[in-house]
Amino acid sequence: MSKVILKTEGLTKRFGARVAVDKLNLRVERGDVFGFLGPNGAGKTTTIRMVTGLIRPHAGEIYVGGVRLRGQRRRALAKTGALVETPAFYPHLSGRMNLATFASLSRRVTRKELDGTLDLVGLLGRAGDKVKTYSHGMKQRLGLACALLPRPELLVLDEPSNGLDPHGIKEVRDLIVSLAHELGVTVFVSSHILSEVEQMCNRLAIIDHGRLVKQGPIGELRGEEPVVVFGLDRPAEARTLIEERLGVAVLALDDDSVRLKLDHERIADVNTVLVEAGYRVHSIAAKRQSLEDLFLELTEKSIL
Amino acid sequence: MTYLRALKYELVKHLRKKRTFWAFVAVAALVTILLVAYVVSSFDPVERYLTAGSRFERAAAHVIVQKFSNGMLFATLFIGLLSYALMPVLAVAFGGELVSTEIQLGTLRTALTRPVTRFGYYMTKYAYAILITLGFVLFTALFTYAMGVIFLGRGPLLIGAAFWRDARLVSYPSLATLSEPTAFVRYLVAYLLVAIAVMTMTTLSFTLSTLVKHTGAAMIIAISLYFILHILAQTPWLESWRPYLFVTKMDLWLPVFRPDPPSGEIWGNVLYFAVYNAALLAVGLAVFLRRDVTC
Repeated sequence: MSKVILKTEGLTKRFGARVAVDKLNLRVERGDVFGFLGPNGAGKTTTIRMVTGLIRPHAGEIYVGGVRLRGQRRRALAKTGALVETPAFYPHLSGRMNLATFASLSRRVTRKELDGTLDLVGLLGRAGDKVKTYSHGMKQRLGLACALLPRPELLVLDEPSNGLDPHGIKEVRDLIVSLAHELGVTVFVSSHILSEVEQMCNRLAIIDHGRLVKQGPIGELRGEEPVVVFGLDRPAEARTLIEERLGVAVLALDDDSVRLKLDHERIADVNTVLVEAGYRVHSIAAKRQSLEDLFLELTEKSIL
Repeated sequence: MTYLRALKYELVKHLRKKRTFWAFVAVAALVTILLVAYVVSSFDPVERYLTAGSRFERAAAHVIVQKFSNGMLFATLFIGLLSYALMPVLAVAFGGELVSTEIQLGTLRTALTRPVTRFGYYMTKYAYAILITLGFVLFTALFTYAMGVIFLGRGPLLIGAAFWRDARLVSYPSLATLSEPTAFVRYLVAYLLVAIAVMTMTTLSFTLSTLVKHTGAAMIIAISLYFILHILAQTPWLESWRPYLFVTKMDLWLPVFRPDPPSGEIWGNVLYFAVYNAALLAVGLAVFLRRDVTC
């Protein structure tokens, strides 16, 4: 059995003149909870649509469990469950019947299996109710149940916490983690909620403007260098000074602080330069680089 | 097996929707209303329509029509009335929502992430369209016949004399009758031919539902096209187009009731509609196979 469960090679998709995904090479290993990060419009959903066979790439290949998706769609998707964007169901059917309808496209399922999956996502009590009476959170959980019914080895989830309240987000997060740990399902999850990814995932990829910026285990990507936050006045002017005089890149600016990535030994140097230039430094805090810092550094954009 | 299972759930999905049965209800209501109205009225089809011929011939026709006015005759006359406009228009509802509704709901996205081929998925939906259209036509046939028998009784079918054509009761040189069992078999064959013609409208709306994202739009375009084709078919200076317009062949069932049905002509028409349906289906399929699902 191949160690790599999902691999893309040179995956490219254009919409007219715009390149949505550009020569993307992803590698997801069995057992991973793989976070797929990127700002809005970075190409996450387009990538997921290609991986799940909804749209066709202009170039490149996708392998699921070692099977090429192009030309072997049924085999490649046989062990894949997916929840792409907002879950969609037939409103006039019950949750159980919706589940049975979609499951019929994968394999034969028994009533016991249906109810077992509904129980897993906490919907068994409402399984007989029509979906039009479900809340958004319930539909999201039904979407997860739908993705789980094919008994997937790979679960592809596109922003599974979208539109959920904090309790719902936690529930979904806990469910994903338990699926990975208890059932051994590999999870490929896109999100722009960094804290969520940080808590769930062991590996991640970050894309921006359709291109892969970084990929690997979270710990490695964050690196050893700490992030240092200097609280001071006139942070925008200070940024110019720090970058030009010290050659240190500023990760981000706030109203009253700048974030830098630098060794402990250089903290005093930066502080000296700032004070000598007349800035009022009121605090210095060093911490380990968070996923947010990494994300900002790599994408140079603000996040939602 | 996957596609048979999917077809079963496709049926379940639609049979649990009230609007699937609107077409059935519409036909049942129309047939019942017309039949009841005919029975309680003093309408005399001979006086109304048979204006040609001598007084003797008209009197004879009157006796004949009286004698053979039964459920079989009523049901047969109704084939033309129902198959010309009502059934094709209603059949649009069976195909017009199959793909576009899935696009609108977003369920196409969920379905196509499953291990099914697009070809298989599309053809499963089309198989449902065929089944529901056949079911609709069979229902119409049996319901009309049953109502005719209940209100007008049983008996042989008069052919040759009492026959609708261009809204006229026309007279053939010779009269003939078909025994009830023979007439009923021909009646079912006639409806089978009607089903093939009506299926063309289902296929047209099914294809349109692949091309547009809104269910209503697919149905409106299909119905509009049907009437546009009728207008074109009736336009004198476009007579050369008529062989290519399927609406001119919606009466393909008529020859079944001739004393000696012309099998060559009937099979020719069946082939004509089969080619039409296949061509329309191929267009929809080509679009569906290539389409990016971004809904």
